[in-house]
Amino acid sequence: MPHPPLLGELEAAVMDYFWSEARADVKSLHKEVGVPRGVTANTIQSTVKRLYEKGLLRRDKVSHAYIYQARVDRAEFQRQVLEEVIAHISSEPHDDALLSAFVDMTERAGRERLEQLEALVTARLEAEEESH
Amino acid sequence: MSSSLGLTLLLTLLGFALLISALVALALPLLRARLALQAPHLRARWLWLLLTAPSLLALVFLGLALLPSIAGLVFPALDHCTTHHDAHLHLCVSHWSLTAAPRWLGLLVTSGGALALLGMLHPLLSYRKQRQRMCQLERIAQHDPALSAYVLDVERPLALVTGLLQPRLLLSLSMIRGLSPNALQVMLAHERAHIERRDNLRKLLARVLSFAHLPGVRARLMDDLVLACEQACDERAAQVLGRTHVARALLDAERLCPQHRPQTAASHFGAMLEPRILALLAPPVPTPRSERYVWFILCTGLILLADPLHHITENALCFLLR
Repeated sequence: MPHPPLLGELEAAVMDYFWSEARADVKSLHKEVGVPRGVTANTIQSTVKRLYEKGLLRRDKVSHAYIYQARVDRAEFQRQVLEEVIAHISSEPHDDALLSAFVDMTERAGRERLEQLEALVTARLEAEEESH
Repeated sequence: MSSSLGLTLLLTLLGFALLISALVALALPLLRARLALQAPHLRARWLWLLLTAPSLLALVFLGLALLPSIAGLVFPALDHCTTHHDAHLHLCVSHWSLTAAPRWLGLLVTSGGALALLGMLHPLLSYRKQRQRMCQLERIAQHDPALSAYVLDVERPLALVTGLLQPRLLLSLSMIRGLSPNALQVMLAHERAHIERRDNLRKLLARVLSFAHLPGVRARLMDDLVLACEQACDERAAQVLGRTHVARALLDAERLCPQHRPQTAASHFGAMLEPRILALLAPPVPTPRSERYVWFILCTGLILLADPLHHITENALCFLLR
């Protein structure tokens, strides 16, 4: 999938259902996802159709109804979206500053310097343990 | 008349903004040296003020320059405009002499205003694009109530705060599983400090309002602000487990991330790990007991500046427009 599609809230809720439950038709989907949200069956039908057109769902015809299931699993979709975010940050480095990451997401410290810093921290920890 | 008034106010505002940005550029080495001695949370505050000074301080100066005329409206006895001769340009909300600005100046000021607007819009549009994707990640992540975080089942180690008004913590399973319990506790404390401090909002406002700075000055101050915010959160995390353990947690998280490059010139953000570790291994910088007296002196000084600023600005505008 070259660019993972953007999902709205209802689309994300529907995908969440498929990632948890594997397969469903529109009727059971409406019961589980639409009814708690006060959303009509037609809206669920349109949402499922959009997700199918975005390539996120596959369907098989069983009798008169389509049974849908996710084409891409949750972890794989999360990975694709995250990689796109990282790619955007790499091209716009100052946008990294607008997220607050524990360690930088795109740039790594040099190996040699990392080892020197680790040696310093280890020595300090050992000294603190000895003094206690 | 209204377009002339608007033009003059915009010219004054842009003039103040450019003057302040020039002063900051000239004083930058000294300012950075002084700020380096401050505790991180104070350093972050002062850096934010420096970044936004051309915008916010320019507005304050404009307000101060108009203050004598506003005082004249409220207390007519204070109205000094009648002492000016007719040819003098009045920076005044009630005695506004019709001023026809030269066409070239009108064009220049309008262009300056348009550039300023673009400078403010660019980071907002860029952020909006990024935010769409981050919202997407939040929607497809699974909420973990125990960690008060949204968790992604991805290989890439991830721990970040996203969002401005309702910031949220986003973690990857690989980060949660890869860190020791102590390191995880440190990481969570650090990220929660970002949420409490609203650092994302702070940094976005700084980017938007710093448009009048020279690009090199702006980039350097933004880098310093980002580092100060990270260090302020490191200090908060250090209250949980101790400074050395925070340093250890940073290194553990760095080790989890793939692709360690051979040592090259310091990169834009990769260089931040070293100053953070070294600061944590050094004794903490003491916080001064009270800054209120500094703010009181500053505010008093600014108010006393109103009258001379008003007259200097009027004379400068007379020189430009007549």
